[in-house]
Amino acid sequence: MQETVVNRLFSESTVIAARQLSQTVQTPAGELTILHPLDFTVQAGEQLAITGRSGSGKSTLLGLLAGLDRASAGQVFLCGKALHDLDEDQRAAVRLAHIGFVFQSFQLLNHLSALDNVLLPLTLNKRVSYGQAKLRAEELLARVGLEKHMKQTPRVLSGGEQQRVAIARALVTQPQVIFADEPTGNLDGQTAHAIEDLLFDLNREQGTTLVLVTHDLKLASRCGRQLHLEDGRLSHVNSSQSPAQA
Amino acid sequence: MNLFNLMFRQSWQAKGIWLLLASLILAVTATTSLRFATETISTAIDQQAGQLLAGDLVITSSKPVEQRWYQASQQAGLRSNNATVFGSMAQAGEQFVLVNVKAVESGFPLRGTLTLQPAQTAGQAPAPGTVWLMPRSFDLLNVKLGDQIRLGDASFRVVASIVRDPNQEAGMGGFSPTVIINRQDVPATNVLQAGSRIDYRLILAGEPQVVKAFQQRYKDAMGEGVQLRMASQGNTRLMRPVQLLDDYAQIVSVLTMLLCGIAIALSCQRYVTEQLDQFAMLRCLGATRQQLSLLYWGLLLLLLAIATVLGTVIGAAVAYGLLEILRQALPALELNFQPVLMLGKPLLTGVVSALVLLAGFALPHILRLIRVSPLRVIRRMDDRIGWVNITIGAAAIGLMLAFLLLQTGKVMLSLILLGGLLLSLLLIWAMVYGLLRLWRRYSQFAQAYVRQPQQLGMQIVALALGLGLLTVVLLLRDDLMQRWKQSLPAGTPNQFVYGLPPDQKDLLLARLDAAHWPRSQLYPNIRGRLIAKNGQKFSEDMIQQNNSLRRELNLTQAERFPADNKIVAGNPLFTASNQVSVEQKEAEELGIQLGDHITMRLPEGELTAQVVSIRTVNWDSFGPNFFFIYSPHTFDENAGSYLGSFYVSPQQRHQLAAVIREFPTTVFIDVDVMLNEVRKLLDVLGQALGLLAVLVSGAGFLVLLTSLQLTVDERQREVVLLRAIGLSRSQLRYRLGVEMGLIGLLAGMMAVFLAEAVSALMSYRLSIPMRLHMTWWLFIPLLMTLLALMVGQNRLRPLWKVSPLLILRRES
Repeated sequence: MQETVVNRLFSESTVIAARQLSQTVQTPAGELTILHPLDFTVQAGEQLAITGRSGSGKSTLLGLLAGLDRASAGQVFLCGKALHDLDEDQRAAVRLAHIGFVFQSFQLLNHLSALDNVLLPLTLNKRVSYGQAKLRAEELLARVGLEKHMKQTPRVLSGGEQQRVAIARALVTQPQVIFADEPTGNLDGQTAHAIEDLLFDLNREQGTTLVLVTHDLKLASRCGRQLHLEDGRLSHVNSSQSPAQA
Repeated sequence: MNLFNLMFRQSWQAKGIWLLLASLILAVTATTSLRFATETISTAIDQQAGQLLAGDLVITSSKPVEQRWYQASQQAGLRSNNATVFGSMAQAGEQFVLVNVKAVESGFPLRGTLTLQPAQTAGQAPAPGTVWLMPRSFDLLNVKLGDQIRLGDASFRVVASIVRDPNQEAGMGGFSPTVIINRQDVPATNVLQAGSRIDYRLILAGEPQVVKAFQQRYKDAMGEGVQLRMASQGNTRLMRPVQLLDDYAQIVSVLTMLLCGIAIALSCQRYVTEQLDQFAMLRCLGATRQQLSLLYWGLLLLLLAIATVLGTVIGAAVAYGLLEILRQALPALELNFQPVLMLGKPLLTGVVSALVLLAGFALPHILRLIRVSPLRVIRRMDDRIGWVNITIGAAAIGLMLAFLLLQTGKVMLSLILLGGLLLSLLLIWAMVYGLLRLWRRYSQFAQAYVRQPQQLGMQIVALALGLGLLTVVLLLRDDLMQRWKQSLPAGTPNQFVYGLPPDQKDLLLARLDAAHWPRSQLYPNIRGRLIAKNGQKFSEDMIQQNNSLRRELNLTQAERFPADNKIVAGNPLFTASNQVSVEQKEAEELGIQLGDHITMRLPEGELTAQVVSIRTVNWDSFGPNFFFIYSPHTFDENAGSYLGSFYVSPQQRHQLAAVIREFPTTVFIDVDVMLNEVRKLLDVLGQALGLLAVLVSGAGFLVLLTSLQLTVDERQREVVLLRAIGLSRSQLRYRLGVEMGLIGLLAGMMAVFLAEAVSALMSYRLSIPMRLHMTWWLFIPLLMTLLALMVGQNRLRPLWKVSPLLILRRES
């Protein structure tokens, strides 16, 4: 069952809206459709999981929703901005202002300390003073349990600790939306569970919207809603009472 | 803490950045030191040439130099000094020797230093009534310090021996042993009479531009019998090594630039590959392209600034070392090491070179970095570009070419170098690719190790290029040095005989042959003035433009030409009397062609002969050489005198005085002194070139290292995967050894091929005989194989020691 977005597209609480969003690419064998036209919206504070098997198009969808790529057809609205009308640099400005990212492979800069890694997004935003930025980064690192590891580089941190740094970095700009791409994919079960808890707790605390891409149905079930993709098509949408919303 | 600081700290620890910085430093070091050193050496060699004249300019006249030239030189701001040079018989007891008397005043020489034993106050002329003698004159006159000798009517006390007189010139007047007296003493000798052969000289020296301007202004204003000579002209023997050094410096400069460019391209490639994910992540976080461009250019400019400072300091040290070697080898060379001068043109050249290299070779990679898609953070994207194609592509080559043209002003040299290089590159790649494919088709072994012939081919080409260019420099250096040395082989005539009376010809030949001194044939020599061609007198304009129409020429007749003369047109043998062979350049300048009849005015009347051959003359041979050689029996052999040359070994020099005494009216010219100066100069130039080659070697080594590192980088992931699927360390080591060894071997072979190709081109350019270098074919591939194995083992060893899981995680 697909939702229609038209009547809810411009409601005040809508953070993300996709309308007839599709993605095709040219391959040597001809045109390949990765995403077939789909419509949905995400409301502020909502936790949405995008699930599906490898190659189902979930990472492509995340890329389009976060403005990392341009759709070949359709429209994407993020925090009131029509991403489909913006060029790459304009989309970068939207990302800087409204989005935080958590990646499967952490994507930390190896030679910088945990604190500097968290500070990085704020250095892109010239309106924040260094003092303010440092204070905020230190608070967040303390919040994710790394107050004693602020000066350490990712090389000496465990996978779980690295992902905590990445979560702190995603939240440091106080974004409206967090996009998480397989955030626990590189972690063992126990660590993964702890990271999931942290992510959901912080999401609730900060009042951000969480869009999470995963093939882990258990993790997906913790989100209020799941969009399941199959061969680039939205096969079904589940709404459940996730622990995070409880 | 801003973004730049953070990214600078991050980049500073990246693998690629050190090699990039090293390449930039080397580029700046090489270009600054090269520019600085060659400029200083050229200036010094110009000054060395100046020493042969004792100044930068000399006005010579058979009459006292007119006062107006003295005034003109004063007005131009030139220093001046007068000297009178004439031939005279010196007498001591019963010994009579024809000497070259140089009468000087205080301040002589203006260039160079006169070394005396015992030492006298520098710049002082001999005290009136005293004389300084060359060591040979002591032997010939049988005198010692404190003895008296007579010159004409005056008597002089010998007070010093001339250890070194740089003012040795190739004019006839300078060949007899020299004695130096005070100019005030000349009238007392009473030897200057009408008809005497005297050179009155006004020697001038000053700043190069002033000298040049003076020469330009007055060269055509000299009157009859007055000549203006410039130090840098006329002495082709001295200028030749300078030109060769200049050519070599250009080659070194071009090759260093190319090698550093390639090293920069490769290290940029490595750095960028390492940074791509980070830049993608920054894009993802919201960094704009403009921010990233500024960031990256800022980082590069910072590197450039560091490289400029360090490169200039190291460049100054290298230049200082280079000049110190020269200074020790040639104490008289007026080398001015002024570090401040480094901050002028050399520094500018260095900075512009590094900037051009960065822009030309790093730009494709910068674009790749700036255009990285943020999507890369969630999906591994293959955005590799054909780096060889792009890096060494049109943009970089175009930029390089433009810069080289500006830098060297030598269009052909730059085009030949770059064209040869590109062609060799293509050829090598095609050859390697073809070979690998062929091998793969027929060998199972090759199928296991040569998986991507195209990529492997590129790696081999990159390696071969660095090594090949390095080889070219070493090879050219050897070739050039050999050629220089060959131009002055042992046994080069060191004594020149002039003015031998015909009736003493046979006696001299007998003496020389008895002593077993190698000699040239003796040529009859008469003097004549060229006045007409095909019955037409030369026009006034022609006479004004051609020096050889304004002076008397030395003419000879002979059955055989000197051995090093080459007939370029006409008949190699004379068939009748009244035939003449003309030197090629002289013929071109005077428009003389085969079959023309030319007329000379001799004391006995006019002589007309038909031109039957045109030949080249090796003026550097130190043997007797002539513009015009007539067929036998064209003129009376006994009308003039004879000239020729011979060689006396140092061990037999003591026998020379006895021979000279036997021929009192003949001039024996000792060219050994001059030859030694030239040899010394060549040796020093050789050392200088060796140092320059070290710079290029450094650049070549950087390219080798960077390309090997890249090759190893690409194998890292593969090694980890192979370990993960269970290959043992020894199996891995063997596998990698075969692969790296193969790359090294092929690269080595291709490098020598490239070196041979460029060497052949350069040999053509520098007229050096082409030849194959078999030892290079043996050693370079072997060395390269070892080096590739060593770097491979060294860089991949850590991967054998850590868990595959850890590396796989890091790699992902």
